Amino acid sequence: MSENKDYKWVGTRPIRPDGADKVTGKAAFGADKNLPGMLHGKILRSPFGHAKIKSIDTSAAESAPGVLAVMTSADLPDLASEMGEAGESAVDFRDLSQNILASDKVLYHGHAVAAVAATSAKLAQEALKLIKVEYEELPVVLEIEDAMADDAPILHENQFTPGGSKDKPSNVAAKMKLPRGDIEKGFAAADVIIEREFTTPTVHQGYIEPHAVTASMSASGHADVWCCTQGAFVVRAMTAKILGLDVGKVKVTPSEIGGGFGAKTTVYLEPIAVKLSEISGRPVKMVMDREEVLRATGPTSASVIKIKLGATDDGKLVAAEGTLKYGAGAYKGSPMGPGCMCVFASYEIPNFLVRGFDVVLNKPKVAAYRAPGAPMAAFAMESVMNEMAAKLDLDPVDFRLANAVKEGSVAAYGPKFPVIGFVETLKAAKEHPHYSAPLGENQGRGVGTGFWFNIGMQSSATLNVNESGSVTLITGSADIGGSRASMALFAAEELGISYDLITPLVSNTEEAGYCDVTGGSRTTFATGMAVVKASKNLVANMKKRAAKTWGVEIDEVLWQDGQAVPPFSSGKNPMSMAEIAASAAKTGGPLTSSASLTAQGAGAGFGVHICDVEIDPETGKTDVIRYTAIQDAGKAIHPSYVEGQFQGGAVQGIGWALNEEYVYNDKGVLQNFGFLDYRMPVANDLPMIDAVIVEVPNPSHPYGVRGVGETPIVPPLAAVAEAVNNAAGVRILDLPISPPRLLAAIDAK
Amino acid sequence: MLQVDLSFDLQEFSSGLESLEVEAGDIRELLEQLDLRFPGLGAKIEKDMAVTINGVIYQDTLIEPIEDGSEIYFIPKIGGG
Repeated sequence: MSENKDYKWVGTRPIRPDGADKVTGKAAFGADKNLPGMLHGKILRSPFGHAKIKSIDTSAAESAPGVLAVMTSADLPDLASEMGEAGESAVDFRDLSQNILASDKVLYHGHAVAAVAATSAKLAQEALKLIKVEYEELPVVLEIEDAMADDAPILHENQFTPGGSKDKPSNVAAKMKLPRGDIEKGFAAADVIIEREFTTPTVHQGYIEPHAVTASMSASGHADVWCCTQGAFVVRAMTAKILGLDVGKVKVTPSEIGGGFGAKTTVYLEPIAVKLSEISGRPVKMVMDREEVLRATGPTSASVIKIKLGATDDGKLVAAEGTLKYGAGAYKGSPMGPGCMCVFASYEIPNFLVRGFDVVLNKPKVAAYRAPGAPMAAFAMESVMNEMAAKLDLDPVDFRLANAVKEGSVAAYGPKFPVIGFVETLKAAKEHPHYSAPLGENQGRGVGTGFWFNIGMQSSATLNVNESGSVTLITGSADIGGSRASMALFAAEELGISYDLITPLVSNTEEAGYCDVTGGSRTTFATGMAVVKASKNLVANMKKRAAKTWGVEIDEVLWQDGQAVPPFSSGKNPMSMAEIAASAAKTGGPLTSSASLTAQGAGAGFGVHICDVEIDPETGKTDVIRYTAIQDAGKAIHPSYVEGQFQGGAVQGIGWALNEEYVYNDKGVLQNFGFLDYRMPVANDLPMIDAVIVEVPNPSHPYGVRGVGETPIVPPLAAVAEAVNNAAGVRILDLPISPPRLLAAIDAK
Repeated sequence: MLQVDLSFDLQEFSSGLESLEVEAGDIRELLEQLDLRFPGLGAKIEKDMAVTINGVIYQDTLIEPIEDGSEIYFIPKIGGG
């Protein structure tokens, strides 16, 4: 479908439609919603990392000043364990319900236990102190290897490892195995074998906007929910399921969103706010503070990953073995599966074996984070690739080029790759001036690569032509990275009118057609497809209206530059969209067009990052001094926002590599629950991230789009670690490479 | 005829058979044929897996046509962040 041609609008960089409101403070985010008579809700959270709940007494809180509603899990339907589609992937609705309000056990420090709504946030907070919860404290397990041990404290007495003992419950919720060829023969043929074990810590997405919701339950049982989310329809589905409501009784309106990165594809507060509203008969607003976000919302998994890699002296990979263990937090469902599928996906390896383990721990249930599971896997594999290149005395990019997957290669996860751009991306890295720039004292350079599948899923779009010829474009896809601009560019290109004549809106679940979450790098790809389809239908309709006006056959009408052009023989003048719209009443009524689809054929994304660091050998501090992110976007619809995705992913990956980690005490209590101690990179920590867009069009998309949001966070961990290795002469296998860790490694050299 | 390869995890349905040929014109027919041959396999794929046709991933669809001679593989459904 994709055509490689010049476009008038696609590929340009107009100002985003929501930009002025955001920079002037007028945009409304989750916590900005207020309603008359609104109450404020607060959550009581577990003071223990693992405990049985023996009793909860809310009577004193119920009669506290200003309190109009108190609830516990007893106010929610007791859901059976049931896997269901909700959002990007399957979820166990019982786990979801238990995670937002625990019933029998608390599984992590900060686990929600009860909720109060009162006339002020202060009164609600005070009332929480009156709720009496009797706990029986249990031992916590925080480390993956400890949780897999035979004598580990068990989180779920009804959880058994598939294929394991049916009598002994286990913290290993799932296993995966991907074999190919014969690894014994493969390693026997290798001239060089490297085996290393890596660890990565629990890290948070670090979105700047905490979770916030306002909910109002009508007397007729219709819930109105306003919240910051990556997917209004998934909030609707989850809220309805947890409360036992039909989805048609829940309306969700998404606010502007201050970051999500995958984490806002689930619910924490929304069902509770609706229930508190139902109990009190008043609207209820709930806003988390930063401490709650870090203690009780889903970060991404910690991991323990072992890689064994074999290559011949001439630089061909012959065998690989990977063991990937991911911590899921309190409930099953780490990104172990995609981690296993990604770990060797970038290379042609004839013999390999991948094993994966999904392990529950006394930490918050993990949530999605850009390219879930892939950054940890790439950190391990790419680090070994760098070490192997050095051992074989090969250039690290040339070594990768010699083994890179290309069209027709059988991916490690099974199918043959269609058209992909890994080789082109590697070559662009090699040719970039950064790659050969000189380095100074205590400086080092590293390279890392990354892969992500990208996805399609369901999307809808509606175009309404106004009587002036301008267009209102409505979708239900939350705009987390500039997608409104991209949607408007697609429509402008297809309709042949100015970008400025299109107003792209993100609407609620009762006014927009169904859209799956904005995640998985799918919105520009999939919702964009819906916009293109709706636009093409609209053009066909407008040609028909013009043909009727002129009394000619529709086949004789052309559409050029936003105008219907009549056959020369008709003697008529072209009709603009404004003219067609103005006369729409006479030719069949208002001009509107909708399209819905399940988008297929998402194109895989590959990225290559080059990182320069300078280390301080006296303190162990690492400064990133130059960074280049190169990635195949297929086609960049709005290049500025593609570059923004590359830069954002790189920065989050740099933080993951150098500083970020959850620090728990031995009771499972998070010690660094604010941004002063949970150290994410800020602007003055970083150089300008140079973003280089490679365009190898995805043939399954009308404009060649691949997703771009996930891949950029995959390469940085290994790129940074290798740069540190080349600067300091020490190879750090455990993230983060914080100053104390690097200093200790330098001192031990 | 379609060339269907089964991943290790799906081979428990096929008693270890890694590859087979199936006649089907779209994904619905493909899953129906697999279920007839290995009961439960088609249902498992429909619930948990995406279908790749000549390497292109198709997720949550039954209606995608499949050309004769295509190579079929199944992978776990993909999400994202």
